[in-house]
Amino acid sequence: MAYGMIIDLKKCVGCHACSVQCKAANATPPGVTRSRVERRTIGTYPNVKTEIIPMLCMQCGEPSCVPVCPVGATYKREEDGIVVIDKSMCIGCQQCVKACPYGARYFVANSEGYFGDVLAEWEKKGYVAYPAGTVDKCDFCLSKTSQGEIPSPACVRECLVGARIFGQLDELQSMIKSRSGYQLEPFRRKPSVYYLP
Amino acid sequence: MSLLLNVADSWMEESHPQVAFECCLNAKQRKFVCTKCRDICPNKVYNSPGCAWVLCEDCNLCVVACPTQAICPSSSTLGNFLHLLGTDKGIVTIACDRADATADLIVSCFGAVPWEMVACFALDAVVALDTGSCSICDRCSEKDQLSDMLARAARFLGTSYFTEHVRFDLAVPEVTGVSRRDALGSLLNMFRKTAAGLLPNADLQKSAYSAFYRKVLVGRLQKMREEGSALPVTWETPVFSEACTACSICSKVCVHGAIQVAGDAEDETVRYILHAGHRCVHCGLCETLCPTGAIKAWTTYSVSDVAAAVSTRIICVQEPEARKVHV
Repeated sequence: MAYGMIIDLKKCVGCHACSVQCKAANATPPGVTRSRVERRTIGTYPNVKTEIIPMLCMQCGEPSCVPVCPVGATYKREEDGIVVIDKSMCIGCQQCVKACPYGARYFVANSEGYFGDVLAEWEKKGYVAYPAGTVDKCDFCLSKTSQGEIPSPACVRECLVGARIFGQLDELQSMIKSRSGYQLEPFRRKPSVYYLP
Repeated sequence: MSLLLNVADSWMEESHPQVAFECCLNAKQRKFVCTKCRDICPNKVYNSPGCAWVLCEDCNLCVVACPTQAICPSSSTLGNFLHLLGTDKGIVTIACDRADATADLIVSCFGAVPWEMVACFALDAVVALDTGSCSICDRCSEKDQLSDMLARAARFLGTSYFTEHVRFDLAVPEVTGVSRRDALGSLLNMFRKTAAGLLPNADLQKSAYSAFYRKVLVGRLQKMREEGSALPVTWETPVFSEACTACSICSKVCVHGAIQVAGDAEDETVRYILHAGHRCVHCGLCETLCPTGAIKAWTTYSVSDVAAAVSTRIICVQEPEARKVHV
């Protein structure tokens, strides 16, 4: 069993609500953008088009970040296929940051907040989960889910146009097939996040 | 009732080793599972998650078996050792409790004697080991343990010094010095006094009691050096081969902080790896976790200053940027 996500690029308007909600829900420190939206321009004038691609950790089937971790602090959970980091074990060597082809991993260098050393109340509460000198990544909001419950990622919950669908990968397959969804897969890592054109 | 429990608790702590879990290999990494303590324990203390100390016989085997020396000996074991270290005797006899001899230090097994302990005694006395009953005993699972221990002590002290100060042919005298009971009597006071004098203060702060025997040995050698009678000793050090990129992963994983990586003030591509042999307990964690497999072989170096470190010069090559999707 593995969780997966579908992002409908036809519906996505690039409003960054997912990025904002992710920040709000997880209280990630500056520099950590677990969910982000990338834009690129394709074609030449006059046939130009801007592509909007929301990015997050792809929870790869064969992650490139897992084997490079020297201490084995990052691993793929067998029960739900989510790649997680054991922060107590992470030594902050950033090998996984280099290895991730999607740029989905972020290094938390210090414990400073958005307003410098003095932390706001919200930051004080949230930054407990981000010790300085460790690496952080999206975990489908697993850290906000209690034991035994199905995770409900903030980006999916709060998407204004409902472009994101979260669920078990097997159940999502039929929809992916019918609409010829694709993975961002230049490195054959079997990502669990699919994009619908 | 709570008072009774408290008393029982403190008594229990005195009579069994304690584990500094922050130094345990299994808390440091997830690549492999270390089961050395579980394998060697004759009473299966470590088989249950919280360690079933009720079963513990205080044999000290796990303390020696632990690769990172994360297990601290019980205070009675420590008391016996430190008491004997404090007394000014010309000869220290060690025997195993299967032999009928009376000795200064009775151990449960020679597999439970760390080489640091033998080296400590050998610094200012002759150590007599009564290993006669080892040939008929099958207690310690690995027979090599005794010879390994002796080989390491011999390498550390130098062969000639070792043969002068460690003997096996001496008949263990009938009744000498303190008996075990006497040692136990004055144990706590002696322990506190001697421990305070022997341990370098800086090491007492964090995970104070891991690698305890090593800290006592180093503290003693430093004291000898201050007094002007330095003994050249030999430490082990890893060889950093050409594959090393000075990524400083080894320095981050090292349990006892034996490895440090320093940059060069003038040249950015040059880095120095400093390995402090007196802190290294040869657990092999750096060797196993090195991503480039740069540590393959180990070598030795002799110094008169105990705390001297070995420096390796590494020229770093800029790694090519990994390919990324978009941007």
